[in-house]
Amino acid sequence: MNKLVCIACPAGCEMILEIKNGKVISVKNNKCPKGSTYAAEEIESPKRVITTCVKTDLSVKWLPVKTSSPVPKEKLFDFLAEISKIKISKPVKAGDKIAEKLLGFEGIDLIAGRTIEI
Amino acid sequence: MKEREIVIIGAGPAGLAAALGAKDKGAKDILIIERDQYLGGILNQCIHNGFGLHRFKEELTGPEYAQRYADMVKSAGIEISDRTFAVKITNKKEIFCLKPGEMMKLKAKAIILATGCRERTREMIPIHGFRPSGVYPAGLAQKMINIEGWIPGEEAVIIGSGDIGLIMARRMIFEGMKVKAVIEIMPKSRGLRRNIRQCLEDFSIPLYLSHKVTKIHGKERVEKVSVCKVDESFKEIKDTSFDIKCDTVLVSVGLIPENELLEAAGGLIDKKTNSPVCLKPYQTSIEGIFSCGNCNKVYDLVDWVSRDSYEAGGLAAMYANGELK
Ligand SMILES: Cc1cc2nc3c(=O)[nH]c(=O)nc-3n(C[C@H](O)[C@H](O)[C@H](O)COP(=O)(O)OP(=O)(O)OC[C@H]3O[C@@H](n4cnc5c(N)ncnc54)[C@H](O)[C@@H]3O)c2cc1C
Ligand code: SF4
Repeated sequence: MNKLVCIACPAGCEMILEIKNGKVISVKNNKCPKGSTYAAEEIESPKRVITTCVKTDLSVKWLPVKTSSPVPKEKLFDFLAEISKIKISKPVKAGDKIAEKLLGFEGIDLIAGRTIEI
Repeated sequence: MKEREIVIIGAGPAGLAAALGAKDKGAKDILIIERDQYLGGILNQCIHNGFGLHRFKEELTGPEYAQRYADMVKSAGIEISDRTFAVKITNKKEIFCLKPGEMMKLKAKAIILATGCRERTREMIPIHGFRPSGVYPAGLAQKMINIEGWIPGEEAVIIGSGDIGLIMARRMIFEGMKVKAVIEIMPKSRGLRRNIRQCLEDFSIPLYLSHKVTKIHGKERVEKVSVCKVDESFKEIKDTSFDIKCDTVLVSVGLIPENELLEAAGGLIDKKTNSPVCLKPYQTSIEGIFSCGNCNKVYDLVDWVSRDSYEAGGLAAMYANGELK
């Protein structure tokens, strides 16, 4: 029996997992199906969404950004290093893709968190 | 003195939702006053995600949530006066504001206070030692890092395990700092379990429950902190003291509603919580002055701030046109 706190939403269910050969075979105590999806992923290949800031030359000095999907946890710092090289010099709108396929990963783009007009 | 129907002070999530609520209940003339250059208040510095799951059914970052409300308020055609600081209000519902290069005087039928909260500081909890540099309230450090791009130091200890402290632990790690420990005096953390997982456990940051910082060492700059275990009545347990080397201490020991404007106008404030005394929801002891969001009570989730403030805005509109009994 393994305990795992679901981080997929602020409810933070304390789930109980049964794991065999590195695979989750049953999940209990989760209030919704997202919990079991998360549990399987967390045990087999954990992932995290990155939220951070990138530098701009605009009226707002730092643009808040997030990755469009979670990145492999063991590569978190490689992604952060890659993101820190990005600089924004043109106005952006919230939701804009400001970089695509980070570190070559299909489906992991960087998304602007706010609009900067000038 | 210019007469207005509804004046809202503060353009955080509370003020923005209140404006929409007032508009939907028929208010024609609404003005939002905001001291900052941007709308969204504290959300602009909360770049992590976890906002909006109830309100928008998706997980947004603070700035994304703020942007949605700012866009809604703008497309509703609601007037906003930014870089405008409300310095005084009166029980006759007059408002005195400072704008770059001008003093603005207004009179409103109804005022909605949406001024948010401020942080408890080190001065409010007893810790020995000098006042070296390197000690920051966690929310201030959050603003400095996320808005100004400034890195506070190399090695940090965080006092208090509320969500702001936890979020800041991960934030500092992302910025290349070391976070040596989080010290919590209570036997349990107030923070969300998911934040303990993804902000501390992911990076093997130790969380010391039932421990307190007894001393911050260093004269010019923080050099280390002394920590010891406490019993159920928070008394230090002998021979449990140890030191942690660090150059930065973040203090995350809670928030208090910001109500100086109301207090100076003669409104009643609950001395324990610093919330306004409200006999009816959102109505302060001064008729026609309403209060919502974190200045009314400290909220954990912005979704509820938006929901409740929308309602408060509606009540203020009804009051202004004489429908509220
Ligand atoms: C650091 C931190 C982290 C948080 N993390 C989360 C989270 O992960 N998830 C979540 O759901 N919630 C979170 N919250 C809670 C949520 O963000 C707040 O409850 C919400 O933002 C409060 O909104 P508000 O409008 O009442 O206050 P604020 O956002 O503080 O807005 C108040 C506004 O009033 C303005 N103002 C104040 N005084 C004056 C004056 N005299 N004149 C003119 N303008 C004035 C300020 O400039 C500010 O813009 C967090 C809160 C904090 C403080
Ligand atoms: S199981 Fe569902 S309800 Fe529980 S924390 Fe995970 S996502 Fe939230």
